[in-house]
Amino acid sequence: MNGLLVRVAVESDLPEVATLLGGGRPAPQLPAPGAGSELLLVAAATSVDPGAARLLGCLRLRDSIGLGRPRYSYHVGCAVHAAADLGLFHRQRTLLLGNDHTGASELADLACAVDGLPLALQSGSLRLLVHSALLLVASRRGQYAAQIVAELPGRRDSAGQSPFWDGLGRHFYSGDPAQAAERFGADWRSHVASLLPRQLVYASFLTPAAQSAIAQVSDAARLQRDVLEEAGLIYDHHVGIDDGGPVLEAAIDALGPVQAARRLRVQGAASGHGVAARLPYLVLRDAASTAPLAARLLGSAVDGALRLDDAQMAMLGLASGDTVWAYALRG
Amino acid sequence: MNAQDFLLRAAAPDDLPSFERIAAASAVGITTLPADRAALADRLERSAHAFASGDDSSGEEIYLFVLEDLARGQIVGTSGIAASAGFHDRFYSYRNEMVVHHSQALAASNRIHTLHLCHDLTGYTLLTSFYIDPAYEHSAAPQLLSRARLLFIAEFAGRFSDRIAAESPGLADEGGRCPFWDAVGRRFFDMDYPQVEQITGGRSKAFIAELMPQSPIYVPLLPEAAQWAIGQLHPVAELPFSILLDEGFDPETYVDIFDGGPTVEARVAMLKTVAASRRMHLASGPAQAHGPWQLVSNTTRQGFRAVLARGEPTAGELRLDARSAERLQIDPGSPLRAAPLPASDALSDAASDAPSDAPSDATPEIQP
Repeated sequence: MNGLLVRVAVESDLPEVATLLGGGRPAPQLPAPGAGSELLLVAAATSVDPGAARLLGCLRLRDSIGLGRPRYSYHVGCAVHAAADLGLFHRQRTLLLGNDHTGASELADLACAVDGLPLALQSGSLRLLVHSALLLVASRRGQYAAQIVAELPGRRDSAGQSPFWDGLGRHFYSGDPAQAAERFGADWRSHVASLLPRQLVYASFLTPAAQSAIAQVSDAARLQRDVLEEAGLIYDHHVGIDDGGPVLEAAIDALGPVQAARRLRVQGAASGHGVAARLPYLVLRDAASTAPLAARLLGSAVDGALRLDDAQMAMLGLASGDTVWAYALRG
Repeated sequence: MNAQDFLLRAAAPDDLPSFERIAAASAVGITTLPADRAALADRLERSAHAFASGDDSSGEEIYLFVLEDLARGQIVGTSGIAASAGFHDRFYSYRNEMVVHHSQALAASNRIHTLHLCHDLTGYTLLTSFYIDPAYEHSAAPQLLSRARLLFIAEFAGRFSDRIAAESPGLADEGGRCPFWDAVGRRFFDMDYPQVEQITGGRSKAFIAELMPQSPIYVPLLPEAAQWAIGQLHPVAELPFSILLDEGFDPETYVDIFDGGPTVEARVAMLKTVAASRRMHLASGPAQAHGPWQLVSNTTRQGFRAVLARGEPTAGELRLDARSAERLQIDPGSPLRAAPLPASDALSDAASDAPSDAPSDATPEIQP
């Protein structure tokens, strides 16, 4: 996370965000102004010249999902068919279409720049985005739900086809869900789901390739999964309706960054003051400002105050007396 | 073979050797007759008891019939009735249903075929155990063998449900391998269907059904061979199936949960033979053997007999040739039950070798 900052995306970021998200995704748009229902965050290198800074990652934070149009996923369940006196014991995986995440908050569109960048920088920008979003959730806890989810892209074969879709969805909708997504944006799931099976489907009726793709993340999204799992989200038996990618989820109040977040008052400190005592903090500034939103800063927290030197304060445009949300990073 | 040489009668324990021969001749899973001497003897005992008992129906009765070719003195077919499907337990079927999945936004509307595990046919009367010697397939014998059961049901309606069903074997190869089972049941058992039947022993199919998925099966998810097999008949069942269709059975709604074969069902009163059957008396007077073909039975339970005979019912009476009356073991003035034989146009070819069928041979009994 060193040398990185997170800010709210502006119009001119959208082409780069589209590149980060890759093809087959809905063209990114900025959240409707004033709606307050979602935020598009981007990560960039700390730079004196923001215009030259290349975007390193993006993340969309939604207050709640599925309250306008229903949001769908499959619940992956288990059914046991047993006959003890016959020695039969069959464990079956089942898929049930539902709206289990209705009302949940969501981390969506999590992506990072990959080409030519060291893995540490990729994971650093993803981590900064996820943790900043969670810090933001903590700072406005009442605005978000009890649960947060993040749906990850599912496994694809070398031709870009999803074996899960080929084994299940294709039999019910002959079109391409990616095209539906491009056309309808976030509502695509609702439209496609209205064509999908409503009743419990035994996974054993699917092709072996489709079965083995259930809850498997695409190779390109492994890093996202690792970062989200590290932040405390887990796979809890839900998958995406198109490619069967895992939905990671968590109770927000149980997440480490949320529990550790504190509201602190910024206190200017002489440059190099107490260098030995300085620790890395993830610091989130008031989102109303046009300055960058969050960054990893070095400082020390004493009695409800966060002591930062001028160079650190400058990174987020902070002044003595401002209030921020922050928590100590482990490293 | 002469249509008037066929006699259907209640099976008796003495018929065991014939049943053994027939059970052995029929392929795996084709009939509901077990290829096991003790089990067959037990069935025949139960059947004899059901015919003999004057008690109210309990639903567990089975009635077995045999068809004799009197010219050869041989039993050439069997058929049966189970008073109540799934007695002691539930009777499982898959019900065909269509759901339409629709999305206005995507301009898509799909009719999706689903199979629902159900107990709809529990308690229905069930036609069972049909087998006809292949040499007789094109004669009038199968008509009598299948439809005379309906005269019995019409005569003793209190012993049966007002709804009736019949299972037919589905597609399977010589080795008993069945595409529907392979795509559905096998996923829950990992074994061939004959093997499952063996393992579960004498238990009802309901026991097996409980191990099957309880939620509807989406047919588009099944392999094509299995989709194709839904509602498809095993070729050996075409003849008895066509007779049931002609009677008015509905073949569209239900299929067997194991092999996907069609299970036909109907209201008893709507079946051709039942609806057209009349209680009459045997007319006295000179024996004539002309008029349309009739299914004729006596009205005794234990000594139930039925034949094919020509005759024209008038004023509650039916005049029969002496030989038919003798085979029914009835005298002039005795009650009988008769119904015109449906599809007897088709039968006239099959029965053309019957001397009585030729106008010039109207009185075969007195031929030189």
